[in-house]
Amino acid sequence: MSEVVENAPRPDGSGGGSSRLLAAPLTFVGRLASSSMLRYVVRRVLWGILMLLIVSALTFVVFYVLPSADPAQLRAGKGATPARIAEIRHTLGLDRPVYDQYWLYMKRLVLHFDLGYSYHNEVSVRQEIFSRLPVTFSVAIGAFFIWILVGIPVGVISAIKRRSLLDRFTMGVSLAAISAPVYWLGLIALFLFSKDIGMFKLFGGSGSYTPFSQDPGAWFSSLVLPWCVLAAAFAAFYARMVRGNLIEVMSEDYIRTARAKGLSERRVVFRHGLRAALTPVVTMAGLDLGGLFGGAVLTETVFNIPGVGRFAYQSIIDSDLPSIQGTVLFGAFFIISANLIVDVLYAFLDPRVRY
Amino acid sequence: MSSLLEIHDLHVHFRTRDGVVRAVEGAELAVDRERTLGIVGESGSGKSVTALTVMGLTRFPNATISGEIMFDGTDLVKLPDNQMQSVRGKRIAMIFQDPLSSLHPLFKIGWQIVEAIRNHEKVSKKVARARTIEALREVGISSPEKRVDSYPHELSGGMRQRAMIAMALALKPDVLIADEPTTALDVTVQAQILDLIRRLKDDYQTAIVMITHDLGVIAELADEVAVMYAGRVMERTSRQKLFTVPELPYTWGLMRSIPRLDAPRPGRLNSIAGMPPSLIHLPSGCPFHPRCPYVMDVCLKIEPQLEQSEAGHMVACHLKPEERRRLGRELISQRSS
Repeated sequence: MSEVVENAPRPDGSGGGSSRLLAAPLTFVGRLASSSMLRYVVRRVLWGILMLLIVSALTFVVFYVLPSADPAQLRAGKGATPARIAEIRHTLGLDRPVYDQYWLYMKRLVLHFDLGYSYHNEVSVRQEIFSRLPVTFSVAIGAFFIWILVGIPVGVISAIKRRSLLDRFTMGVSLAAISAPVYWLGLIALFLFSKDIGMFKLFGGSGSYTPFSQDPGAWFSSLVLPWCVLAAAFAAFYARMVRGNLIEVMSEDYIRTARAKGLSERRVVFRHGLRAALTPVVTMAGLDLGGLFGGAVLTETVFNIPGVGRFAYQSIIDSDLPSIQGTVLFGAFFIISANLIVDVLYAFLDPRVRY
Repeated sequence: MSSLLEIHDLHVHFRTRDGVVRAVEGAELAVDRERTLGIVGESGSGKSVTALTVMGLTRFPNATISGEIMFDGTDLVKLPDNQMQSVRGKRIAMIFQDPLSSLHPLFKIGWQIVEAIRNHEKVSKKVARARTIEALREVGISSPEKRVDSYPHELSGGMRQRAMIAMALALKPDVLIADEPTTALDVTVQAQILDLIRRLKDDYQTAIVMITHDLGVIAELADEVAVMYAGRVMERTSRQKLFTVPELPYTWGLMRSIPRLDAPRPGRLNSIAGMPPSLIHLPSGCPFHPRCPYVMDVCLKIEPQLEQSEAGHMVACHLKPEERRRLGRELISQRSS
């Protein structure tokens, strides 16, 4: 069985030799404010902005170059006259050259944080996304807790009881969980446990999402199945990663030193082993959570949850460029931010990393 | 009279997929307080496995350990794991070859030493930290009050090994096992570390087991020497005897392999022909016979036992003792001329 060993991306130590020795006694705040760290963060933020520009330009280009339905035609509906379609095209600005449209879009975005209006129903995209973010956060954060609380302990136990029946069983199950597509797993979960069509009517089914502010109980019930389905593959992947990392770490020389000190095996594993094995996991967890904040498209679609992911899916169906653009930008923003946060965090988790 | 640490007929075997690895076969060793036992041999000769077995660190599910490791009246081979834990680190400490990989990279060195102290003694963090600083000072680390909060990667190789030694000695162990402690260090630093170990041995009345492949380290530090080959102790004597009348063809090979600065440069460096044997498929008879220039018929059939040659000199070899001494003396006079 192959071991999943993730090597966390480690930024190159561009800090000077002298800062290496000086940085050690500095406190958390001190290090954050240290000039090399600050310069690094500023550089990364600038790069992030450039990335967002590139992403938005690419989305524009892809939308116009790849064949898609004509938004004006969709908007006009069946049997509309060509004149009517042309009129709509003009109001939406679709008759202008692509670069002109892009320029206008970016100008409004930068000056007014205006993401434009949906071609489909004239609703402000920014408002649409903002109203859906809490929903997506609910889905992502809940799933995150489940996959961390399941994945890490399972990985640790499998690593300690390596090659045991339990290890083989959990790793087999995890392989299945990684391989199972979310939409399939989602349907199975609905058929088994949802209140409407399930064999065991336990939790809210598809489309049962209720905001937390309205009814916390219903909110929870409606999210249990999506959480579990979304967490399944992540938990499985994390279990395998933690197992692989821990097995590798436990063969390190410093683990032998810890044992030679006369520490109990429990302390050797949980203090010395896990400390090293979980550091790269923190990186992965941050990135994965950031990615999900942009919308869990499949899960939200299967369970009909009104989050950013389903909005993105619907926008693509509707050829609704401003909405697509908005969701893509938000997704990219979360991924870029998560990357930056994780890289900065890594410097505190691993003292060898310097910026 | 029994020594502080005595190893009798120690066998350590590991079952692997390729067969049983006979890492240690009938090792006989002993060391006393304020004495240094040097164990010398090539890679895979069983020296490290012997040391780790004394520490109880080879008790893997696939390992079979038999024989006796008598330490201060207790047989460590039979000691249960939980009692072994209180011996390990506290009464017998060990330092390793590469101090960078042997220290945890994510913990401060002070934290790592404090942990060792508090693991064995009920003292407050403050007391343990003060003792840690004292131990760091003792091993020659300058401004230990600052270094105690350094991470291993912030120290030089020599400083790291000093920190390792401080960790090992913070609990004033009876025995310190040093497994090639200078191999990964610069030559100039090597001498400092050896000096340090010697000084600490005298200050703390510690027994030292020095594992090395370097006869120079043996000459520098050891009182007693054991030459190991293929998991067996093949020659055991005092340092003085080893460097005047070595009696084992393998030891001669090791000595010839030391390059000389004062003689004309040979066409190629001397080495012992062949490779160390596989510990799964050992040669018949004497394990050294395929590489031995003095091999006789008997060497292929019967394994020589470690036997007294002269007072205080044990050798496992089929060559006649007079012959061995003559050849040994010749080699030494050649090399010192």
